[in-house]
Amino acid sequence: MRPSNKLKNLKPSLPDIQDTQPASNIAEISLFGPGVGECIVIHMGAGQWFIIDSCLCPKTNEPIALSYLRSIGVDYANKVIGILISHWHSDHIRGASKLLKHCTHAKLYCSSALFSKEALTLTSLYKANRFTDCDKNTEEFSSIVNFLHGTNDPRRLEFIKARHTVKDIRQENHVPVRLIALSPSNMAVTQSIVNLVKLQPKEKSQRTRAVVPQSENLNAVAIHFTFGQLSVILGSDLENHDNENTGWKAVFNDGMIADLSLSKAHVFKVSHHGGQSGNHDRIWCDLLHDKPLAITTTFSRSHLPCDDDIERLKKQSKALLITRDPTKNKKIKHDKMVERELRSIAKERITVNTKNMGHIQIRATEQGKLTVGMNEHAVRY
Amino acid sequence: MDNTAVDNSFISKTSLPSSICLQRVVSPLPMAKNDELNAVKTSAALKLVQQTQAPVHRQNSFDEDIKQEWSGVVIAVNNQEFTVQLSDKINPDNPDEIVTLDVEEVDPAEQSLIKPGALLYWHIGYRWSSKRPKERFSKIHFRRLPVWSKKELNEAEQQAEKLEAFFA
Ligand SMILES: [Zn+2]
Repeated sequence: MRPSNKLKNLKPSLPDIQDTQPASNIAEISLFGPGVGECIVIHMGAGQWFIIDSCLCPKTNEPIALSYLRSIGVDYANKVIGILISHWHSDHIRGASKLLKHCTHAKLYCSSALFSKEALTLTSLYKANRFTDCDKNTEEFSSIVNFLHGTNDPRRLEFIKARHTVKDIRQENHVPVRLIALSPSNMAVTQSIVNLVKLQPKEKSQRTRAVVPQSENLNAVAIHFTFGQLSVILGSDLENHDNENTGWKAVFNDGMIADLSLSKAHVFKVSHHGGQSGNHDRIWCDLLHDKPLAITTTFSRSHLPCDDDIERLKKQSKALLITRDPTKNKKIKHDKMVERELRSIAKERITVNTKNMGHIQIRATEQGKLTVGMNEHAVRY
Repeated sequence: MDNTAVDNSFISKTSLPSSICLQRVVSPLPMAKNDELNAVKTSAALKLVQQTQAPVHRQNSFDEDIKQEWSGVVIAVNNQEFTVQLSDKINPDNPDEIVTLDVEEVDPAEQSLIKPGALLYWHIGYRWSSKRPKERFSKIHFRRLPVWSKKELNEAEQQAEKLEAFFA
Protein backbone atom coordinates (compact mmCIF):
# COMPACT_ATOMS: atom_id res chain seq x y z
CA MET A 1 0.00 0.00 0.00
CA ARG A 2 1.40 3.37 -0.99
CA PRO A 3 1.59 6.18 1.55
CA SER A 4 -1.14 8.79 1.41
CA ASN A 5 -1.43 12.20 2.93
CA LYS A 6 -3.97 11.13 5.51
CA LEU A 7 -1.34 10.67 8.22
CA LYS A 8 -0.49 13.93 9.86
CA ASN A 9 3.11 14.61 10.57
CA LEU A 10 4.18 17.18 13.09
CA LYS A 11 6.81 19.06 11.26
CA PRO A 12 8.63 21.83 13.02
CA SER A 13 8.43 20.36 16.49
CA LEU A 14 12.07 19.44 16.95
CA PRO A 15 15.13 21.65 17.19
CA ASP A 16 17.59 22.04 14.36
CA ILE A 17 20.70 19.99 13.86
CA GLN A 18 23.66 21.00 16.03
CA ASP A 19 26.42 22.13 13.74
CA THR A 20 29.43 21.65 16.02
CA GLN A 21 31.12 18.42 17.01
CA PRO A 22 29.86 16.70 20.14
CA ALA A 23 32.06 16.80 23.23
CA SER A 24 34.10 13.69 23.85
CA ASN A 25 31.66 12.49 26.53
CA ILE A 26 28.62 12.82 24.27
CA ALA A 27 27.58 10.10 21.83
CA GLU A 28 25.86 10.81 18.54
CA ILE A 29 23.75 8.86 16.10
CA SER A 30 23.09 10.79 12.90
CA LEU A 31 20.79 9.17 10.37
CA PHE A 32 20.79 10.45 6.78
CA GLY A 33 18.37 9.56 3.99
CA PRO A 34 17.71 11.29 0.65
CA GLY A 35 14.63 9.19 -0.27
CA VAL A 36 16.53 6.18 -1.54
CA GLY A 37 19.71 5.72 0.46
CA GLU A 38 20.85 5.44 4.05
CA CYS A 39 23.90 6.39 6.09
CA ILE A 40 24.44 6.38 9.85
CA VAL A 41 27.26 8.34 11.46
CA ILE A 42 28.07 7.40 15.06
CA HIS A 43 30.19 9.21 17.61
CA MET A 44 31.33 6.48 19.99
CA GLY A 45 32.75 8.99 22.45
CA ALA A 46 36.34 10.14 22.92
CA GLY A 47 36.46 11.59 19.41
CA GLN A 48 36.06 8.21 17.70
CA TRP A 49 33.60 7.86 14.84
CA PHE A 50 32.04 4.90 13.08
CA ILE A 51 30.03 4.96 9.85
CA ILE A 52 27.37 2.47 8.78
CA ASP A 53 26.48 2.46 5.06
CA SER A 54 26.81 5.31 2.63
CA CYS A 55 24.71 7.47 0.36
CA LEU A 56 25.53 10.58 -1.64
CA CYS A 57 24.83 14.18 -0.78
CA PRO A 58 22.49 15.34 -3.58
CA LYS A 59 24.15 18.76 -3.71
CA THR A 60 27.84 17.80 -3.83
CA ASN A 61 27.55 14.16 -4.94
CA GLU A 62 30.08 13.20 -2.30
CA PRO A 63 29.37 10.69 0.49
CA ILE A 64 27.11 12.45 2.99
CA ALA A 65 29.21 11.18 5.91
CA LEU A 66 32.23 13.12 4.61
CA SER A 67 30.22 16.31 4.01
CA TYR A 68 28.69 16.11 7.46
CA LEU A 69 31.86 15.31 9.41
CA ARG A 70 33.70 18.09 7.58
CA SER A 71 30.87 20.52 8.34
CA ILE A 72 31.16 19.91 12.08
CA GLY A 73 34.95 20.01 12.00
CA VAL A 74 35.83 16.33 12.45
CA ASP A 75 39.20 15.18 11.12
CA TYR A 76 37.70 12.13 9.44
CA ALA A 77 40.99 10.88 8.05
CA ASN A 78 42.15 10.11 11.58
CA LYS A 79 38.99 9.94 13.64
CA VAL A 80 36.80 7.49 11.72
CA ILE A 81 37.83 4.06 12.97
CA GLY A 82 35.43 1.90 11.02
CA ILE A 83 33.08 1.80 8.05
CA LEU A 84 30.47 -0.93 7.93
CA ILE A 85 28.76 -1.88 4.68
CA SER A 86 25.68 -3.50 6.13
CA HIS A 87 24.76 -5.22 2.85
CA TRP A 88 25.26 -4.96 -0.89
CA HIS A 89 22.37 -2.80 -2.04
CA SER A 90 22.90 0.43 -3.88
CA ASP A 91 20.83 2.40 -1.35
CA HIS A 92 23.43 1.47 1.29
CA ILE A 93 26.77 1.55 -0.53
CA ARG A 94 26.86 4.61 -2.80
CA GLY A 95 30.11 6.46 -2.17
CA ALA A 96 31.51 3.83 0.23
CA SER A 97 34.73 3.49 -1.80
CA LYS A 98 35.35 7.23 -1.48
CA LEU A 99 34.65 7.08 2.24
CA LEU A 100 37.21 4.35 2.59
CA LYS A 101 39.81 6.31 0.62
CA HIS A 102 39.36 9.44 2.74
CA CYS A 103 39.05 7.79 6.13
CA THR A 104 42.58 6.47 6.05
CA HIS A 105 42.47 5.01 9.56
CA ALA A 106 39.17 3.20 9.11
CA LYS A 107 38.74 -0.52 8.74
CA LEU A 108 36.07 -1.80 6.41
CA TYR A 109 33.58 -4.20 8.01
CA CYS A 110 31.17 -6.35 6.01
CA SER A 111 29.79 -9.85 5.70
CA SER A 112 32.25 -12.38 4.30
CA ALA A 113 29.69 -13.14 1.56
CA LEU A 114 30.65 -9.83 -0.06
CA PHE A 115 34.23 -11.01 -0.44
CA SER A 116 33.39 -14.58 -1.45
CA LYS A 117 34.78 -15.81 -4.73
CA GLU A 118 31.27 -15.49 -6.20
CA ALA A 119 31.03 -11.80 -5.30
CA LEU A 120 34.58 -11.13 -6.43
CA THR A 121 33.86 -12.78 -9.79
CA LEU A 122 30.99 -10.35 -10.28
CA THR A 123 33.19 -7.37 -9.50
CA SER A 124 35.91 -8.70 -11.80
CA LEU A 125 33.39 -9.12 -14.59
CA TYR A 126 32.34 -5.52 -14.12
CA LYS A 127 35.57 -4.39 -15.81
CA ALA A 128 34.56 -6.31 -18.90
CA ASN A 129 30.98 -5.10 -18.75
CA ARG A 130 31.37 -1.55 -20.01
CA PHE A 131 28.18 -1.79 -21.96
CA THR A 132 26.00 -1.60 -18.91
CA ASP A 133 27.41 1.82 -18.20
CA CYS A 134 25.61 2.62 -14.99
CA ASP A 135 25.75 -0.52 -12.94
CA LYS A 136 26.11 1.38 -9.67
CA ASN A 137 25.93 -1.61 -7.35
CA THR A 138 28.81 -3.43 -8.96
CA GLU A 139 30.76 -0.31 -9.88
CA GLU A 140 30.88 0.85 -6.27
CA PHE A 141 31.76 -2.55 -4.94
CA SER A 142 34.39 -3.04 -7.62
CA SER A 143 35.99 0.29 -6.57
CA ILE A 144 36.08 -0.87 -2.94
CA VAL A 145 37.71 -4.18 -3.83
CA ASN A 146 40.26 -2.55 -6.12
CA PHE A 147 41.11 0.13 -3.57
CA LEU A 148 41.63 -2.36 -0.76
CA HIS A 149 43.68 -4.59 -3.03
CA GLY A 150 45.77 -1.55 -4.01
CA THR A 151 46.54 -0.73 -0.37
CA ASN A 152 48.32 -4.10 -0.12
CA ASP A 153 46.97 -4.25 3.43
CA PRO A 154 44.35 -6.99 3.83
CA ARG A 155 44.02 -6.04 7.53
CA ARG A 156 41.95 -3.03 6.52
CA LEU A 157 39.13 -5.49 5.89
CA GLU A 158 37.36 -7.34 8.69
CA PHE A 159 34.49 -9.76 8.21
CA ILE A 160 31.56 -9.36 10.50
CA LYS A 161 28.75 -11.71 11.51
CA ALA A 162 26.42 -12.31 14.44
CA ARG A 163 28.13 -11.87 17.84
CA HIS A 164 31.13 -10.10 16.28
CA THR A 165 32.41 -7.41 18.64
CA VAL A 166 33.71 -4.31 16.90
CA LYS A 167 34.28 -2.45 20.13
CA ASP A 168 33.91 -3.39 23.79
CA ILE A 169 35.19 -1.05 26.47
CA ARG A 170 34.01 -1.97 29.94
CA GLN A 171 36.56 -0.80 32.47
CA GLU A 172 36.60 1.41 35.51
CA ASN A 173 36.68 5.18 34.99
CA HIS A 174 35.56 4.77 31.43
CA VAL A 175 32.16 5.18 29.83
CA PRO A 176 31.13 1.68 28.68
CA VAL A 177 31.10 1.54 24.87
CA ARG A 178 30.10 -1.55 22.91
CA LEU A 179 29.35 -2.13 19.27
CA ILE A 180 28.23 -5.67 18.51
CA ALA A 181 26.78 -7.30 15.39
CA LEU A 182 23.45 -9.12 15.80
CA SER A 183 23.57 -10.57 12.28
CA PRO A 184 24.14 -12.13 9.75
CA SER A 185 23.93 -15.72 10.90
CA ASN A 186 26.15 -18.38 9.36
CA MET A 187 23.23 -19.72 7.37
CA ALA A 188 22.37 -16.25 6.06
CA VAL A 189 25.93 -15.83 4.79
CA THR A 190 25.79 -19.20 3.04
CA GLN A 191 22.40 -18.47 1.48
CA SER A 192 23.60 -15.09 0.36
CA ILE A 193 26.52 -16.70 -1.46
CA VAL A 194 24.10 -19.15 -3.11
CA ASN A 195 22.10 -16.16 -4.34
CA LEU A 196 25.24 -14.55 -5.73
CA VAL A 197 25.92 -17.73 -7.71
CA LYS A 198 22.58 -17.19 -9.43
CA LEU A 199 23.79 -13.77 -10.61
CA GLN A 200 26.88 -15.22 -12.32
CA PRO A 201 26.54 -14.97 -16.08
CA LYS A 202 26.90 -18.09 -18.17
CA GLU A 203 28.89 -18.41 -21.36
CA LYS A 204 26.99 -16.93 -24.30
CA SER A 205 24.42 -15.33 -22.02
CA GLN A 206 23.69 -11.75 -22.90
CA ARG A 207 25.25 -9.01 -20.81
CA THR A 208 22.81 -7.41 -18.44
CA ARG A 209 23.27 -5.04 -15.59
CA ALA A 210 23.65 -6.95 -12.33
CA VAL A 211 20.52 -6.41 -10.27
CA VAL A 212 21.38 -7.46 -6.75
CA PRO A 213 18.28 -9.30 -5.52
CA GLN A 214 16.13 -8.29 -2.58
CA SER A 215 17.32 -11.48 -0.86
CA GLU A 216 20.66 -9.75 -0.27
CA ASN A 217 18.92 -8.36 2.84
CA LEU A 218 19.62 -11.81 4.28
CA ASN A 219 23.14 -10.64 4.75
CA ALA A 220 22.25 -7.38 6.48
CA VAL A 221 24.32 -6.51 9.57
CA ALA A 222 22.14 -5.26 12.44
CA ILE A 223 24.05 -3.59 15.27
CA HIS A 224 23.65 -3.18 19.02
CA PHE A 225 25.45 -0.02 20.18
CA THR A 226 25.91 0.98 23.81
CA PHE A 227 27.30 4.21 25.23
CA GLY A 228 26.98 4.49 28.98
CA GLN A 229 23.32 3.95 29.80
CA LEU A 230 22.20 4.51 26.23
CA SER A 231 21.65 1.52 23.95
CA VAL A 232 20.62 1.70 20.32
CA ILE A 233 19.55 -0.97 17.83
CA LEU A 234 20.49 -0.19 14.24
CA GLY A 235 18.42 -2.65 12.24
CA SER A 236 19.90 -2.17 8.74
CA ASP A 237 17.55 -3.94 6.26
CA LEU A 238 17.39 -7.16 8.26
CA GLU A 239 14.13 -8.96 7.54
CA ASN A 240 11.96 -11.59 9.18
CA HIS A 241 11.87 -14.82 7.14
CA ASP A 242 10.23 -18.19 7.56
CA ASN A 243 13.67 -19.69 8.09
CA GLU A 244 14.46 -19.98 11.80
CA ASN A 245 18.17 -19.59 11.11
CA THR A 246 18.26 -16.37 9.12
CA GLY A 247 17.06 -12.79 9.60
CA TRP A 248 15.56 -11.63 12.90
CA LYS A 249 14.52 -15.17 13.90
CA ALA A 250 18.17 -16.20 13.94
CA VAL A 251 18.97 -13.29 16.28
CA PHE A 252 16.41 -14.53 18.82
CA ASN A 253 17.11 -18.25 18.40
CA ASP A 254 20.83 -17.75 18.84
CA GLY A 255 20.63 -16.76 22.48
CA MET A 256 23.16 -13.96 22.01
CA ILE A 257 21.04 -11.38 23.87
CA ALA A 258 21.50 -13.27 27.15
CA ASP A 259 24.96 -14.63 26.38
CA LEU A 260 26.38 -11.20 25.62
CA SER A 261 24.25 -9.36 28.24
CA LEU A 262 22.87 -7.01 25.61
CA SER A 263 20.87 -4.30 27.32
CA LYS A 264 17.50 -3.14 26.06
CA ALA A 265 17.70 -0.15 23.76
CA HIS A 266 16.04 3.27 23.93
CA VAL A 267 16.49 4.09 20.26
CA PHE A 268 15.68 1.89 17.26
CA LYS A 269 16.73 2.55 13.68
CA VAL A 270 13.84 0.54 12.33
CA SER A 271 14.93 -2.16 9.92
CA HIS A 272 14.15 -2.23 6.23
CA HIS A 273 12.85 1.33 6.01
CA GLY A 274 9.97 0.63 8.38
CA GLY A 275 8.49 -2.08 6.14
CA GLN A 276 6.52 -4.97 7.64
CA SER A 277 9.06 -7.46 6.27
CA GLY A 278 11.66 -6.00 8.64
CA ASN A 279 9.42 -6.41 11.69
CA HIS A 280 9.53 -9.13 14.35
CA ASP A 281 7.47 -8.78 17.54
CA ARG A 282 10.37 -9.91 19.71
CA ILE A 283 12.44 -6.90 18.61
CA TRP A 284 10.03 -4.79 20.67
CA CYS A 285 10.02 -7.08 23.72
CA ASP A 286 13.51 -8.56 23.87
CA LEU A 287 15.70 -5.85 22.40
CA LEU A 288 13.91 -2.57 23.12
CA HIS A 289 12.57 -0.72 26.14
CA ASP A 290 8.86 0.03 26.09
CA LYS A 291 8.08 2.87 23.67
CA PRO A 292 11.54 3.62 22.32
CA LEU A 293 12.36 6.45 19.95
CA ALA A 294 12.01 5.01 16.43
CA ILE A 295 13.90 6.49 13.49
CA THR A 296 14.06 5.32 9.91
CA THR A 297 14.79 6.24 6.32
CA THR A 298 12.41 5.88 3.40
CA PHE A 299 12.80 3.69 0.36
CA SER A 300 10.64 5.60 -2.06
CA ARG A 301 11.20 3.00 -4.80
CA SER A 302 8.99 0.60 -2.86
CA HIS A 303 6.74 3.10 -1.00
CA LEU A 304 8.41 2.31 2.32
CA PRO A 305 7.27 2.99 4.92
CA CYS A 306 3.59 2.81 3.90
CA ASP A 307 0.60 4.11 5.92
CA ASP A 308 0.17 0.82 7.78
CA ASP A 309 3.85 0.75 8.69
CA ILE A 310 3.67 4.30 10.01
CA GLU A 311 0.55 3.51 12.09
CA ARG A 312 2.19 0.39 13.53
CA LEU A 313 5.45 2.18 14.34
CA LYS A 314 3.64 5.13 15.90
CA LYS A 315 1.84 2.77 18.27
CA GLN A 316 5.02 0.95 19.21
CA SER A 317 7.21 3.99 19.80
CA LYS A 318 7.10 7.21 21.76
CA ALA A 319 7.94 9.11 18.58
CA LEU A 320 8.63 8.12 15.01
CA LEU A 321 11.09 10.24 13.01
CA ILE A 322 11.62 9.65 9.30
CA THR A 323 14.38 11.29 7.26
CA ARG A 324 11.96 12.21 4.44
CA ASP A 325 8.20 12.56 4.20
CA PRO A 326 7.13 9.22 2.69
CA THR A 327 3.76 10.65 1.71
CA LYS A 328 5.38 13.12 -0.64
CA ASN A 329 5.96 11.65 -4.05
CA LYS A 330 6.83 14.71 -6.04
CA LYS A 331 5.79 14.23 -9.62
CA ILE A 332 8.10 15.24 -12.43
CA LYS A 333 6.67 17.82 -14.78
CA HIS A 334 6.59 16.15 -18.18
CA ASP A 335 5.42 17.54 -21.46
CA LYS A 336 1.59 17.26 -21.59
CA MET A 337 1.58 14.63 -24.31
CA VAL A 338 4.23 12.57 -22.52
CA GLU A 339 2.11 12.72 -19.39
CA ARG A 340 -0.96 11.54 -21.34
CA GLU A 341 0.99 8.70 -22.89
CA LEU A 342 2.45 7.63 -19.55
CA ARG A 343 -0.95 7.73 -17.90
CA SER A 344 -2.39 5.51 -20.59
CA ILE A 345 0.22 2.76 -20.39
CA ALA A 346 1.99 2.87 -17.01
CA LYS A 347 0.39 0.55 -14.46
CA GLU A 348 2.30 2.18 -11.62
CA ARG A 349 4.65 5.14 -11.39
CA ILE A 350 7.04 6.24 -8.67
CA THR A 351 9.41 9.17 -8.68
CA VAL A 352 12.68 8.35 -6.99
CA ASN A 353 13.03 11.56 -5.02
CA THR A 354 16.63 11.90 -3.95
CA LYS A 355 17.16 15.62 -4.28
CA ASN A 356 17.02 16.53 -0.59
CA MET A 357 18.92 14.91 2.24
CA GLY A 358 16.95 14.30 5.42
CA HIS A 359 18.94 14.26 8.64
CA ILE A 360 17.99 13.13 12.16
CA GLN A 361 20.60 13.83 14.84
CA ILE A 362 20.50 12.21 18.28
CA ARG A 363 23.04 13.17 20.91
CA ALA A 364 23.25 11.44 24.28
CA THR A 365 25.03 11.83 27.56
CA GLU A 366 26.44 8.75 29.27
CA GLN A 367 23.38 8.84 31.55
CA GLY A 368 21.26 8.35 28.44
CA LYS A 369 19.77 11.85 28.25
CA LEU A 370 18.85 12.49 24.62
CA THR A 371 18.87 15.66 22.54
CA VAL A 372 17.15 15.10 19.23
CA GLY A 373 17.25 17.39 16.22
CA MET A 374 16.25 17.11 12.59
CA ASN A 375 16.51 19.19 9.46
CA GLU A 376 13.66 20.57 7.37
CA HIS A 377 13.38 17.46 5.17
CA ALA A 378 12.82 15.04 8.05
CA VAL A 379 9.37 14.48 9.56
CA ARG A 380 8.00 13.47 12.92
CA TYR A 381 4.90 11.36 13.51
CA MET B 1 14.57 -8.67 -35.27
CA ASP B 2 17.18 -11.33 -35.47
CA ASN B 3 18.37 -12.57 -32.13
CA THR B 4 22.01 -12.14 -33.05
CA ALA B 5 21.62 -8.43 -33.55
CA VAL B 6 23.68 -6.51 -31.06
CA ASP B 7 23.31 -3.08 -29.56
CA ASN B 8 25.97 -1.10 -31.36
CA SER B 9 25.13 2.30 -30.03
CA PHE B 10 28.44 2.58 -28.20
CA ILE B 11 30.47 2.22 -31.39
CA SER B 12 29.41 5.19 -33.43
CA LYS B 13 26.34 7.14 -34.21
CA THR B 14 26.89 6.53 -37.89
CA SER B 15 26.21 2.87 -37.42
CA LEU B 16 22.68 3.61 -36.42
CA PRO B 17 19.96 2.78 -38.88
CA SER B 18 19.49 5.28 -41.59
CA SER B 19 15.87 6.09 -41.03
CA ILE B 20 15.29 9.72 -40.30
CA CYS B 21 13.55 8.52 -37.21
CA LEU B 22 16.55 7.31 -35.32
CA GLN B 23 19.04 9.84 -36.60
CA ARG B 24 16.86 12.52 -35.19
CA VAL B 25 15.85 10.65 -32.12
CA VAL B 26 19.13 9.60 -30.75
CA SER B 27 20.84 12.20 -28.69
CA PRO B 28 24.41 11.33 -27.74
CA LEU B 29 24.34 7.83 -26.38
CA PRO B 30 26.87 6.61 -23.86
CA MET B 31 30.00 6.39 -25.98
CA ALA B 32 32.78 4.07 -25.08
CA LYS B 33 36.06 5.71 -24.15
CA ASN B 34 39.01 4.88 -26.37
CA ASP B 35 40.47 2.28 -24.08
CA GLU B 36 37.10 0.68 -23.66
CA LEU B 37 36.64 0.67 -27.38
CA ASN B 38 39.98 -1.04 -27.86
CA ALA B 39 39.04 -3.65 -25.32
CA VAL B 40 35.81 -4.18 -27.14
CA LYS B 41 37.59 -4.52 -30.45
CA THR B 42 39.80 -7.27 -29.14
CA SER B 43 36.96 -9.16 -27.59
CA ALA B 44 34.73 -11.72 -29.12
CA ALA B 45 32.08 -9.06 -28.96
CA LEU B 46 33.53 -7.48 -32.07
CA LYS B 47 32.60 -10.44 -34.21
CA LEU B 48 29.06 -10.01 -33.10
CA VAL B 49 29.18 -6.30 -33.62
CA GLN B 50 30.34 -6.85 -37.17
CA GLN B 51 27.38 -9.08 -37.76
CA THR B 52 25.05 -6.48 -36.40
CA GLN B 53 21.88 -6.08 -38.26
CA ALA B 54 20.23 -2.77 -38.13
CA PRO B 55 17.49 -2.85 -35.51
CA VAL B 56 14.04 -2.87 -36.94
CA HIS B 57 12.89 0.65 -37.45
CA ARG B 58 10.61 1.61 -40.19
CA GLN B 59 12.45 2.72 -43.24
CA ASN B 60 9.67 5.14 -44.09
CA SER B 61 10.80 8.71 -43.95
CA PHE B 62 9.07 10.04 -40.89
CA ASP B 63 9.64 13.36 -39.33
CA GLU B 64 9.73 13.11 -35.59
CA ASP B 65 9.42 15.38 -32.64
CA ILE B 66 10.81 13.55 -29.65
CA LYS B 67 9.25 14.81 -26.44
CA GLN B 68 10.80 12.34 -24.04
CA GLU B 69 13.76 10.00 -24.06
CA TRP B 70 14.76 7.67 -21.23
CA SER B 71 17.37 5.04 -20.75
CA GLY B 72 16.24 2.34 -18.40
CA VAL B 73 16.97 -0.92 -16.68
CA VAL B 74 14.52 -3.69 -15.88
CA ILE B 75 14.46 -4.12 -12.12
CA ALA B 76 11.70 -6.72 -11.79
CA VAL B 77 9.66 -9.05 -13.97
CA ASN B 78 6.35 -10.39 -12.74
CA ASN B 79 4.21 -12.56 -15.01
CA GLN B 80 2.89 -10.23 -17.67
CA GLU B 81 4.33 -7.09 -16.08
CA PHE B 82 7.79 -5.67 -15.77
CA THR B 83 9.20 -2.74 -13.82
CA VAL B 84 11.86 -0.39 -15.15
CA GLN B 85 13.92 2.34 -13.55
CA LEU B 86 14.15 5.22 -16.03
CA SER B 87 16.74 7.99 -16.28
CA ASP B 88 15.71 11.07 -18.18
CA LYS B 89 18.08 11.67 -21.11
CA ILE B 90 16.56 15.00 -22.09
CA ASN B 91 16.49 16.51 -18.60
CA PRO B 92 19.23 14.61 -16.75
CA ASP B 93 18.58 16.64 -13.59
CA ASN B 94 15.18 15.00 -13.21
CA PRO B 95 15.07 12.23 -10.63
CA ASP B 96 14.71 8.67 -11.87
CA GLU B 97 11.25 7.23 -12.27
CA ILE B 98 10.08 3.69 -11.71
CA VAL B 99 7.36 2.54 -14.03
CA THR B 100 5.52 -0.76 -14.25
CA LEU B 101 4.37 -1.73 -17.73
CA ASP B 102 2.60 -4.57 -19.41
CA VAL B 103 4.87 -6.89 -21.40
CA GLU B 104 2.47 -6.26 -24.28
CA GLU B 105 3.87 -2.74 -24.62
CA VAL B 106 7.07 -4.25 -26.01
CA ASP B 107 7.51 -5.43 -29.58
CA PRO B 108 6.93 -9.25 -29.59
CA ALA B 109 10.38 -9.74 -31.13
CA GLU B 110 11.95 -8.09 -28.10
CA GLN B 111 9.81 -9.58 -25.34
CA SER B 112 12.31 -12.39 -24.76
CA LEU B 113 14.84 -9.74 -23.72
CA ILE B 114 12.75 -8.62 -20.74
CA LYS B 115 14.67 -9.84 -17.73
CA PRO B 116 16.18 -8.21 -14.65
CA GLY B 117 19.16 -6.09 -15.65
CA ALA B 118 18.13 -5.72 -19.30
CA LEU B 119 18.76 -2.24 -20.67
CA LEU B 120 16.41 -0.27 -22.85
CA TYR B 121 15.64 3.05 -24.43
CA TRP B 122 12.17 4.55 -24.48
CA HIS B 123 11.12 7.37 -26.76
CA ILE B 124 7.82 9.20 -26.75
CA GLY B 125 6.93 11.80 -29.34
CA TYR B 126 5.04 12.71 -32.48
CA ARG B 127 5.80 11.55 -35.96
CA TRP B 128 4.39 12.34 -39.35
CA SER B 129 5.21 12.07 -43.04
CA SER B 130 3.93 13.49 -46.29
CA LYS B 131 1.68 10.42 -46.61
CA ARG B 132 0.58 10.01 -43.01
CA PRO B 133 -0.94 12.39 -40.52
CA LYS B 134 0.77 13.36 -37.32
CA GLU B 135 0.51 10.67 -34.66
CA ARG B 136 1.66 10.05 -31.13
CA PHE B 137 4.14 7.22 -30.69
CA SER B 138 5.91 5.43 -27.90
CA LYS B 139 8.76 3.07 -28.71
CA ILE B 140 10.52 0.84 -26.21
CA HIS B 141 13.71 -0.56 -27.67
CA PHE B 142 15.74 -3.15 -25.77
CA ARG B 143 19.50 -3.01 -26.10
CA ARG B 144 21.06 -6.21 -27.38
CA LEU B 145 24.43 -6.39 -25.72
CA PRO B 146 27.20 -8.78 -26.68
CA VAL B 147 27.19 -12.16 -25.00
CA TRP B 148 29.77 -13.21 -22.44
CA SER B 149 32.65 -15.19 -23.87
CA LYS B 150 34.31 -18.14 -22.19
CA LYS B 151 37.57 -16.16 -22.11
CA GLU B 152 36.00 -13.25 -20.24
CA LEU B 153 34.38 -15.56 -17.70
CA ASN B 154 37.61 -17.49 -17.15
CA GLU B 155 39.62 -14.30 -16.71
CA ALA B 156 37.15 -12.97 -14.16
CA GLU B 157 37.24 -16.22 -12.25
CA GLN B 158 41.04 -16.18 -12.15
CA GLN B 159 41.04 -12.58 -10.97
CA ALA B 160 38.47 -13.47 -8.30
CA GLU B 161 40.69 -16.32 -7.06
CA LYS B 162 43.63 -13.94 -6.82
CA LEU B 163 41.57 -11.42 -4.84
CA GLU B 164 40.07 -14.11 -2.63
CA ALA B 165 43.57 -15.28 -1.69
CA PHE B 166 44.59 -11.69 -0.91
CA PHE B 167 41.61 -11.01 1.35
CA ALA B 168 41.49 -14.45 3.01
ZN1 LIG C 1 17.72 -0.38 2.08
